[in-house]
Amino acid sequence: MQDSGSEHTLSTEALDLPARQTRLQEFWAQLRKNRLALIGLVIFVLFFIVAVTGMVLTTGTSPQLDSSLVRLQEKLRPPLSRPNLKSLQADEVPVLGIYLLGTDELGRDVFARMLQGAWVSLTVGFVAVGIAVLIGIILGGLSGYYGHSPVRVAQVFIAVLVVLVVTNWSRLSFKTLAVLISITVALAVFLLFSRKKEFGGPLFLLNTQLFSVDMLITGLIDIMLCFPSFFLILTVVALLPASIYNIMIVIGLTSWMGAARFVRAEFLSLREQDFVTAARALGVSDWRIIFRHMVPNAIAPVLVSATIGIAGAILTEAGLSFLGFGVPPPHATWGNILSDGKNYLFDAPWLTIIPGVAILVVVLSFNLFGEGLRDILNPKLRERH
Amino acid sequence: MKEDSSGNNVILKVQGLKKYFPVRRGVLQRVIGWIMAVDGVDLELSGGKTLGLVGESGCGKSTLARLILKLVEPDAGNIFFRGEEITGLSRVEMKPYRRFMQIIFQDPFGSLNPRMTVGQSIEEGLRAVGVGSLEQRRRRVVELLEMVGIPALAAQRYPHEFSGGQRQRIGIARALSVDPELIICDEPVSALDVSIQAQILNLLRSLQEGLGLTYIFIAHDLHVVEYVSDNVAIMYLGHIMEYGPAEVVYSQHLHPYSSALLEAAPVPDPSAKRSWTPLAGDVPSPFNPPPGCKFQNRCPLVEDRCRKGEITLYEVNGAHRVRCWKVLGR
Amino acid sequence: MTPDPLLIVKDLKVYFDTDQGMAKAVDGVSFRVGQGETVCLVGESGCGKTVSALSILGLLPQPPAQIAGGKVFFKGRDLLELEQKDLREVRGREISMVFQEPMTSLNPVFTIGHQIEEVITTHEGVDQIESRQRIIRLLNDVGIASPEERMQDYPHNLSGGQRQRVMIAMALACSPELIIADEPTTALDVTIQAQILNLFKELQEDRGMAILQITHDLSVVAGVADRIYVMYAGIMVEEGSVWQIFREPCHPYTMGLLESLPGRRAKGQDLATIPGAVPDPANKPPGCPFHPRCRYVQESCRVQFPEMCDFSDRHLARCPIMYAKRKVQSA
Repeated sequence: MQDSGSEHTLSTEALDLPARQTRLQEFWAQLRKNRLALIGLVIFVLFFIVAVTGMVLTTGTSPQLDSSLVRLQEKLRPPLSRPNLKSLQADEVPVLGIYLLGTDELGRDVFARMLQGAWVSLTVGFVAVGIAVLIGIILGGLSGYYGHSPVRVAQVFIAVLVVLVVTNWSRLSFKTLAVLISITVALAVFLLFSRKKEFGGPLFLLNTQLFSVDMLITGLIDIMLCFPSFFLILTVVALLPASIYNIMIVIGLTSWMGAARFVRAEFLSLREQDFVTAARALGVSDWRIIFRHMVPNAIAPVLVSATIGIAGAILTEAGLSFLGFGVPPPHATWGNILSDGKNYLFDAPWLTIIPGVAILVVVLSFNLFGEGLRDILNPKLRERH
Repeated sequence: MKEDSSGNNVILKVQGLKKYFPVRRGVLQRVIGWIMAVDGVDLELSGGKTLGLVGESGCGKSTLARLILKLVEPDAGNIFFRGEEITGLSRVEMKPYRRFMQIIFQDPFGSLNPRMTVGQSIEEGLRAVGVGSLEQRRRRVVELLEMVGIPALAAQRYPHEFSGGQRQRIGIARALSVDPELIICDEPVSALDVSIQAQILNLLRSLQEGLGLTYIFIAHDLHVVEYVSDNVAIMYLGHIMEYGPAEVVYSQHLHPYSSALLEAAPVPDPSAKRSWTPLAGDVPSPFNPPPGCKFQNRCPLVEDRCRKGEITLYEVNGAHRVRCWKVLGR
Repeated sequence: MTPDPLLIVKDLKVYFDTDQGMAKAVDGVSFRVGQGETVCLVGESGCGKTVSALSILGLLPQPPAQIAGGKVFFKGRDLLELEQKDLREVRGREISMVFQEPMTSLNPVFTIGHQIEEVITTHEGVDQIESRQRIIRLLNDVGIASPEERMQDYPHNLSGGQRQRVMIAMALACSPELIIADEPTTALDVTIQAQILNLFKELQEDRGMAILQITHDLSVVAGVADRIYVMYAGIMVEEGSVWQIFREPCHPYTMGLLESLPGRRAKGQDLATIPGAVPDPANKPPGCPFHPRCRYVQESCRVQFPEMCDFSDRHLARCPIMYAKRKVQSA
């Protein structure tokens, strides 16, 4: 075969491949052509740097820039005004020697507060979206890959029992706990061995198929989408102690549906692709097919929605803080700077304009970058043969 | 088929294979009918030979391929690989058999993972059968690539850097990675240009000679199937209508559908002027077909009895079989 | 052959501006279609056959495409010079198109009757009753049973073959003199393909229109074409009657194509192949674009772009090497 094979062998020159380009180089080349996305990326990087330096400068026991230092005698100074050195204590003099962005109604340095707020916005954006994307990928992936698998009565029982045990761990007596856990284990064992056999009577009932995994998860997505999410967040935040972490988690838990839908749709179409069939025919494990073959191909639209989602999370946090449900007062966020400033709209317009413009620019940059990513990552918009 | 079964080189045997897909409608997803994709197929395949599977779209040839590979579970029937039944096997039990049966696809663009290098794609198979070290796998990848006529440096490249024909070669290398005995070629050349098609067909043939491979060759191009096949099965709506050695099926076909199909195929010769009237009507949908012969609504020889009762594959002589009583004078 | 052909394409050049540079998709293509003739443009994917056809009717999006040169005369008028408004008058009325994908070339939200009616009313001021009669007649002509009912159907109610028939009915609606059919049967099953090819033939006999068919399938070409143009990498490599091309191909590419057809080889024999692959249109080899794959290649082929050589009666091929060979043989 080898001798006759030589005739069909392509000479190396026949396989003249273009110069090797890594994915990153290619990505960069595409990005450079997309002016708006590039601007978005630049602003995003600037924002990132500002937020990190802001975090470094405004935290600690004696921060470089103290965002909560009250100087009532210097209240409502406009931006770029020099401090009145005579009326200030030595440790009250602003580090820069100038009120770069002015002061608010308590004489606090708006520049320092904006820096601190940038960090809050950044972490809220990233952590909330991180949670949302994680939930989205897991649920969307389950729904897309195992969608056809039925959920059986026994499985529902197990889920209910597990929830019961976990939520009432401390309240239940040892005896009841033991009974509940052993029922759960028995059901699980039953499930393991019931796949191929037919059962009669009550055991048959346990083995009855209720609905498919896909119906369950898409149902959950639809239910979550029914809630006006901002008010859902408001309710939850009102019930929980006010803290920045609760806000991140709540925003994350209420915004995963988009990512889940994207991943589900991608998985549904990827499942039918020949390269996935080929992997199955080669005997590659499910786990490897999902994470090595499908997730890398499904991640692009999720990345896009995540980028735009960060903008949404920043806006939500600002909105919550503006309404007073957000991060508690001494801590500065762009939302509560804006909220505090609205009372002085005509006397000190910079108090509203500065955080407002900052939110606008950052959200816009994320959206632009997200849109650009979509164009770059969407293989349909690219000719490559 | 009789002759084949007397020989002990039967690699694959399929008996009464059926796959019905439910069609669901409404909120409650009630089953309103069935698509009879594969409706009772018997086949026997001897080692080192090629079985051509011909038919129009919707005839169930691709479903049959996936059933044999156990990528889809059959609703009825048995599949024997080298005499061992693989029908009821679970995923885990099936794993050792996977390496013996592989598939090559039609679409050279969808068959390779765009996010993996060519080398990684081929390595997947080696990893699945547990070929030892990274070093060994790399060496084998290079060997495989050279076998299909692609330079070794291609291993680090991504699929989009290759042309359709080159990708098809890479797909073949991936299938070969696990040393299979049977390869199902699902329209491997339909998406390729004529000159590239010939290259791939030659490659498949020389691989068959060199490695003793058995092929199931699915295609809609009748000339290609005639060229590659030892035996040919003509499928229509989930049934095999005619089966036999390629020369017999092409020159002495009996079934009215075979005649219609083979005569409709355009011939690359201007002197072969078309004087016949082509078969009227469309390929009916495999959704809830009528009882009796599946070809009844397009058949020029149809009689009342064709609309009732099941018609089986009748033996003509030796391996040649036809699913029609009319042409056999019964 | 009528002295005055219906369509003359002269030295057409269509370039695409791509990342890799200027892709010369069509680089100086000339052909003509006579009245009532069936002419086939044959070639592999990327040879520029579809681009040539689309640019006749100005249907290529510009940019990225740009018509870099050439003339397209239809009944003496240069279509490339026409205003969009005048071009629209030509489209559908005098020249119409049938596309490959019967699934996507009909609008799914309108009934097929409505879609045919639209073509008629766009070009001719006819009233509803008359256009209805014409639609029924058209659907009848293209072999759709019970047209009165069918015209109320939406495209998804029809099979692939029926949709292609509807497409043909739309193309015929204003009795054009030329139909451009771009791979009209490629997406269809063999038996349906035979039906559609037969339909084209019957319609042509009845109505006498010319057909420019674009295809990669040489077997189809053999059955339908009067005259064949073979394209490779954006240029015309050979032209001739169907007999000339199939019986005595002159260009090595045409020869290679015909030899690589599996129907012409005995079993167990290797198929003849053309080594290598079609060149990237943005990066074509110098000289004859076919020279890296050609078995008769000579030094001059690598540097000099070959001229069209006249082999016999209106049988031309772009290969001086073969021309010299044949001369020697016949002498």
